[in-house]
Amino acid sequence: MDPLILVGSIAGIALMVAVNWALLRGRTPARLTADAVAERLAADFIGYEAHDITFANGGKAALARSRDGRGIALTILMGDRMITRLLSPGVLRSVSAHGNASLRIRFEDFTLPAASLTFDDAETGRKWAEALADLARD
Amino acid sequence: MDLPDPVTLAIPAFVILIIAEMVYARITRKAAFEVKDSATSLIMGLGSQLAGAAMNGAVIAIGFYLWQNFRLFDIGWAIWAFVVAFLLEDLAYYVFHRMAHRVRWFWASHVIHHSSQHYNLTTALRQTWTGFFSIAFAFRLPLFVIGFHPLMIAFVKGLNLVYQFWIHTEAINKCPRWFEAVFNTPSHHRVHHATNPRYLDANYAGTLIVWDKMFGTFVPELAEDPPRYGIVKNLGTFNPLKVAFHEWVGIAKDLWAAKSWRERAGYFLGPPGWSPDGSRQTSDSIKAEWRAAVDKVPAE
Repeated sequence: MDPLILVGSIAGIALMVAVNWALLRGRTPARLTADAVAERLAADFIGYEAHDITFANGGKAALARSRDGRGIALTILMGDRMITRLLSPGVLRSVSAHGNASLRIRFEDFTLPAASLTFDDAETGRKWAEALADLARD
Repeated sequence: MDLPDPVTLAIPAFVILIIAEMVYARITRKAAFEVKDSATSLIMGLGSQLAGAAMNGAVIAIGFYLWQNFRLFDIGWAIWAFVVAFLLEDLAYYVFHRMAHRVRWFWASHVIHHSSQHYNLTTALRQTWTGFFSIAFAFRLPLFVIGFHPLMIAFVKGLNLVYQFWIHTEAINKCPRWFEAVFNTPSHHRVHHATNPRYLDANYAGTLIVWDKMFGTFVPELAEDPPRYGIVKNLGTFNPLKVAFHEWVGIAKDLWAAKSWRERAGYFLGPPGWSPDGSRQTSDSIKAEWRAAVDKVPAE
């Protein structure tokens, strides 16, 4: 590759990222809503009827159960888009409590970094920790 | 004949159009960007150019070897030859692209292009670093045997890639009907990038959508089912290395755990999502599950 094109490409990328950052600066950070989580889970896991949706991290993550026993689903905001996972055995590597209202979840999927979920109260954290513990490998 | 590289020539236009689309998105909200997502796409594009520069010599050398030793016709450099070469290269792209969605070995390299949940002009540049290892170039080898000069094929391939840039946008709804009927458009390609079950494995075209219509893979975009972009199991990372190699790592893990040669072949050459016990989802199983769910809903 011509070094001039390489340098120009890097400069072009820097310019585009800078313009993008400047244009999106000050935008209200995305937050999950119950409707958005339910709709997305139903789309990603066909027919998944979410209930008992519990938000964590100030609305940037949520856990939900399904009405038909399909298990617990995790929704995480990544930027302004959602990542979802059905937390069946084989998906979770470990679940550990961090403080009263926090959980740390590690996944078998290396494209999904460990998630720390902080709930509004200790009771909620304990409830989800118990629900997830049986699904984890370690 | 000395031919320019259309992709290199188009880079300044790419930059200008991407910035224009970012400004348009900010003003109208009819397109969407995310800083980290865009940065990842652009870095993937640069990496793809670097990987291509390292491997293109080998591909051109293979092309020259076939053309010099096995070509059936002396086609030459006439204008009609460029037109026919473009059409046949576009057909070869269709075949490659269809295989890239149906065979995990090819998908491992192509999935990178689909790994963003956004659909904007930066997504067009989110390209593979490992195309050479999935022997994507093999689909163009028959063109050298027919007798098209390797540099002519490299040129029309570049034109095809440049064409495919502008269709990665939500800023354009529909083009004129005659254009939608013949060419790949933003609407057709949004369907291709969508994970909605009705849209899976559709619209593989490069430039001409007529291939999809001829071979039964065309699906129109419906206003009542807006595309959701990305892959069936979206990545939870913007790390370019993980984006580039995640499916190859998945294949390696599956091959390591496989119990038989049948399983190894399935993991490597079966459709993405194939598993011996059917516990994972392929696009076919997702579509079947979706159709069953739709059929269950009573008509109003």
